[in-house]
Amino acid sequence: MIPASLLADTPLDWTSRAEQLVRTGDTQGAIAALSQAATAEPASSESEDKIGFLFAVLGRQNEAIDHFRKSISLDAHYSAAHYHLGVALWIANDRDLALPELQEAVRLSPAVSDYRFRLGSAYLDRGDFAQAAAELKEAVALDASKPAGWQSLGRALQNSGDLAGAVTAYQHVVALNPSDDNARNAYAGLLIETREPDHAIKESQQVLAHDPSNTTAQMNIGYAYLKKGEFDSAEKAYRDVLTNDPASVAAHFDLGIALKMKDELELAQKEFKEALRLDPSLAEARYTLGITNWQIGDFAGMIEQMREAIAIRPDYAEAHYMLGIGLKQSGDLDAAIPELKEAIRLDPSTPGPFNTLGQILRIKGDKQGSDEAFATGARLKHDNEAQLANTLEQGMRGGTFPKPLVAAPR
Amino acid sequence: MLSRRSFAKSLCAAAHVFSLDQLLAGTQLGVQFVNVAREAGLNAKTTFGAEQRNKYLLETTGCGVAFFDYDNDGWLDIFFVNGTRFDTEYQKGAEPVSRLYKNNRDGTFTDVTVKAGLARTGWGQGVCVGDDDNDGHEDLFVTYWGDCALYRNNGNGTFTDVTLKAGVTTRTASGFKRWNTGCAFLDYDRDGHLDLYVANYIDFDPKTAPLPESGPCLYEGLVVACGPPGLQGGKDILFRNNGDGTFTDVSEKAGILKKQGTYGLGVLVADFDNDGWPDIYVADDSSPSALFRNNHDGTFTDIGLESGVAFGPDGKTQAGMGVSAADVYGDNKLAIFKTNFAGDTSTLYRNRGSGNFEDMTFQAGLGRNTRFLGWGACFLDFDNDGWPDILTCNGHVYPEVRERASESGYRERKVLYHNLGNGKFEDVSLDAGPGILEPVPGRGCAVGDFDNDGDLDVVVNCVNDIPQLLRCDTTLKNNWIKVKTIGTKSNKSGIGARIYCKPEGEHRQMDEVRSGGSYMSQSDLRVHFGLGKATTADLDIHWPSGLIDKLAGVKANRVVTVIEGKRLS
Repeated sequence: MIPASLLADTPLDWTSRAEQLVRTGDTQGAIAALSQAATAEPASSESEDKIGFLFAVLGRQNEAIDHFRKSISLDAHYSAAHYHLGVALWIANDRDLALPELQEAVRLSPAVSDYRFRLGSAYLDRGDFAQAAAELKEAVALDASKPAGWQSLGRALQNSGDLAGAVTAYQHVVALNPSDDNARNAYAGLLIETREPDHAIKESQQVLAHDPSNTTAQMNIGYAYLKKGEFDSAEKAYRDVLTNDPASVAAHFDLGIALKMKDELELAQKEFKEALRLDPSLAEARYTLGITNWQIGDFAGMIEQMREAIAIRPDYAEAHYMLGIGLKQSGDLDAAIPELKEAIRLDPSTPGPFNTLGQILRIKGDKQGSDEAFATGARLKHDNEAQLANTLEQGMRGGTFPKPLVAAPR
Repeated sequence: MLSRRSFAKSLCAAAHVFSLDQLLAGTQLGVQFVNVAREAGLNAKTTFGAEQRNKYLLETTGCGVAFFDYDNDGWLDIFFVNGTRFDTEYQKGAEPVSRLYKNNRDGTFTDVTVKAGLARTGWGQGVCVGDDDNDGHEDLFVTYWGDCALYRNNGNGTFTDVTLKAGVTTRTASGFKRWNTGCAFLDYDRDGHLDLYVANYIDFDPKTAPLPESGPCLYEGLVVACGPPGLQGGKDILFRNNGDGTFTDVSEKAGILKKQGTYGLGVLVADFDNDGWPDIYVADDSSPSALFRNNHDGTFTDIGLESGVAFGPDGKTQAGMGVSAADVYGDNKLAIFKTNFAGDTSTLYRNRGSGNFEDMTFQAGLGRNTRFLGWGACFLDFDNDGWPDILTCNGHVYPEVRERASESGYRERKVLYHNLGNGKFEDVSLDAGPGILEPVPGRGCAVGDFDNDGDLDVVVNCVNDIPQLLRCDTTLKNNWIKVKTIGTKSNKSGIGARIYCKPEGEHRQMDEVRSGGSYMSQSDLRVHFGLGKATTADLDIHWPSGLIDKLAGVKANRVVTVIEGKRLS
C-alpha cells in the first residue's frame, strides 16, 4: 500500500518524490516511488532518465541501465540518457558498450563540459591518450574550474609525451586545489621530468611544510637532486625517506644510485642489496648492482647479477647486453654472442651491442660478420646524430621540439 | 736562488694548511706534488671563453702546454697555449697571447714571449714540438681554431713563424677556419724528416653554430653549449715533410680521411704493433677513436674498430680527450690510456700484440672514478719504481656547473694512480699532496723534470685561471735515467726512437721519444725511466732509421745524451 502522501500522477512527479526520499535516506520508499514512476504514464525520455539516474544513485545499476536504455528508445537524441547510460555501463565494467554512448552524448551536446570530461576519462582509462587529451582539452575549455578535469588532462598529456602541456595542466590542478598533496606531488614529478628540478624541489617542500613525513615529496626531492647532479643532497633526501620508512624499496634503490654517482661503490652496493632483500623482484637493482660489480672488477659478480636480472625480466635488453660484455671480458666469447644477439633482438636501435659483437666476431675470425656488425653500429650512430643535427638546425631556424637535447650523450 | 725548502715555506705561508715537515716528510706514498706555479713566476692567466656561461663549445675545450728545451741548455722551458674570448674588445697589446717561459735553472721562470717572437693571440688549442728542419733546435707547432702556427726555432732565443712558407696553414681552400686541436710530429715514412699530424674537432662557424637555447642543449638540467653530437665533425690532416722546409697535405692520399670517427682531440703517435713504424691513435670525442696502422707505404688504415680501441668496454663511444702510452705491463708493448667525460671512467687498453687490444679498465682498478671529467692524460713513473703510473688532469666542460653543489664541480682535483706492477693500479690521489688535491679547471698537462732533480713534475694549463706547476717532492731515493736522443740519419729530435731500458736486477722497460700526446700537449722529449734501487741500466736505442745503439751499464741518476750511431755523452 502506498501512503497517500506519496500519491502522484506523472512519472516526473514520482521521480521528484523519490528524489526527496533518497535525500532523507528512505531507500525503500525511494525504490517504491521509482517503481510507481516506471509504471506511470506518460513515460518520457526525461522521466526514464531520471528514474535511471536515481536507481544508479541507489546502487541498482541494472535497473538504472534499463531505464537509460528506455529513455533512449523514447528519444534517441536525448543526450543526458546517453551520457548516463555510458557512465553506468563504464561503472559496470562494460566499457565497449559504454564508449559509444559517451561519444553520442558529446556529439549531441558538445558544449557540456561533463560529457567531454567523462569521454576523455574513458579514453584515458583505455590508454588512448591522444584522444583523451583532445576531449579533456575541450572539457577544461568549457569549464576550467574543476581540478579533476585538469588532472586527467595532465595525465593524458603526460602519457602522450606532451610533458610541457602536462605541466601546465597540473599547474591548474594545484592552483585550484592547493591542499591536494597528491596532485602537487604529481606536479613535482612532472617538473623533474621536464628538467625543472629546482621548481620541483620547491613544490615538494610545500608539501613537506604541512606534512613532513610525506615520503612521495621526499622521494621527489631526492630524484630532483639526482637529476641536478647534486648527489650529496640526493643522498640526504633519500636518507630522510628511510628515516620515516626504512622499508622503502625505492628509497634504498635511489640512495644506491646517488652513492654510485658519488663513486662510493661499496655503500651503493649495500643499498642495492637492501632493496633486493625487501623486493627480490627488482630487476633494476640486480642490474645496477651488477654494474657496480663490474666497476670494481668483479666480473663473476657482475655476470651473476645480470643473469638474475634476466631471470626476473627476460626482455631486459640492457641486462642481456651487459651480460654479454661481462662474458666477453671474462673470456667466454661463445657465451657472450647469444646474449648480445638477444640484446639486439630486444632493442635493435642501440649501437653498443653491435660494436661489441663485431669485436668478438673479429677475434673469432669471422671478418664478414664482424664488418656487418660494425657497419650496423655505425649506421645506427649516424642515424642518431643525423636526428640530433636536424633538431639543432630546426632550433636555429626557430622551430619547436618535442623535448630538449641532452648536451652530453657521450 | 730559491731552494726547494724555501718554496715549500712560501707555499705554507700562503696556504696555512700544510706544514713544511708534512710536505717534505711525505706520506706512506713517499711522494708529494706541490703547486709552485706562483713562486716560479707562472702567473699569467689563460683566457678561454666566457667565465660564467658559454655560447659555443669552442669556449670550453681549453688549451695544451709544452715542456721543452727551446734554448738547448738542458733545462725544460714551458710554453702555454692561450685562447681568447668572444664579444670582448682588447686594447692593442693587451690581448691574451700564448706564452713562453724560460727556465732560470733556479726553480723560477722568465716570460720571454715577446723576445722570442711568439706573442700571438687567437683561439689557441694544442701544441707539439719537434725539430722539423733538423737544425738541432726544437720547433713549435701551435694549433688554433683558425690558422695554425709553425714556429721555426732560430737557435738564438727567437722563433720565426713560417706557417705559410712551409705550407702548413690549415685554412681550407674556401677560407673556412678549421678547428685544429691535438698535434704531433712523426716521421711516418722514416725518411729522416718530421711530418705532422693535426686532429680536427668540429667544422665550427659562429654564424651558423647552434646556440644553447636553440636545442635547448641541456646538461643535467642546465642550458649549456651544444655539441659535439649533432654538429659537423672536422677532418684530421697529415702533412708530409718535403725535406726542404715545406710540407704537403697528404691526408687523402695517406688514408687519413677514411677515419671512422670524428671530433678528434688528443693525438698519440707510437709503434703499437712493434713493426718499427709509427702508428697514430686519435682520441675522438663522442665518436669511435681511431688507430691508424702504418702500412709502410705512405698510407694508413684505421683499425680502431677491429683492434678494440675505438670504444669503451661496453662497445659505446666515449668522449675521448687526452691520450698517453706506456709499457704498463712490462711486456714491451705500449698500452693506451685515454681520459673521457664525467659519468664514464678513463680507459686503459692493454696491447695484446699484432694490432689487438683489450680494455682492461676495470681489471686494472680504474673503474671506480666516474665523477671526474678528464682532459690531460699522462703516464709518469712518479716514484721511479720502474712502473709507469697514471695522472689525469680534470675539470668540467661547462662553467655552468658551478651552480651545482656536486663534489666534483667545475674545478676538479686530479687523479693519480700508482702502478702496482701486477697489472693493477691504486688510486693514491688523497696521499699525493696538495698539488693533486687542489681543484682547478684543468685541461692540457705535460710531464717533465723541470728542476732536473730526477723526479717527474707536471705542468697544467687551466681554463680562465693561472696554470699549475706541480713539483714532485719525494723521499723515496729511487734511481732514474733520462735519455736525450739526437738523430743523425733519423730526424734530429729522435722522435719515434724506441728505447729499451734494462735496470740491473729489474724488469726490462720500453718507451719511445714522442711528440704530442696527453691533451693537446707536449711532454719532455727526453725519455725518463725509473730504476728502483738499480744503480745501472743497459739501454738499447732503436732509431727510426733502423740503426740500433746499445749502451751497457749506464750509471743511474743522469741525463744520457745519445747521438745516433755514436757514443753517449
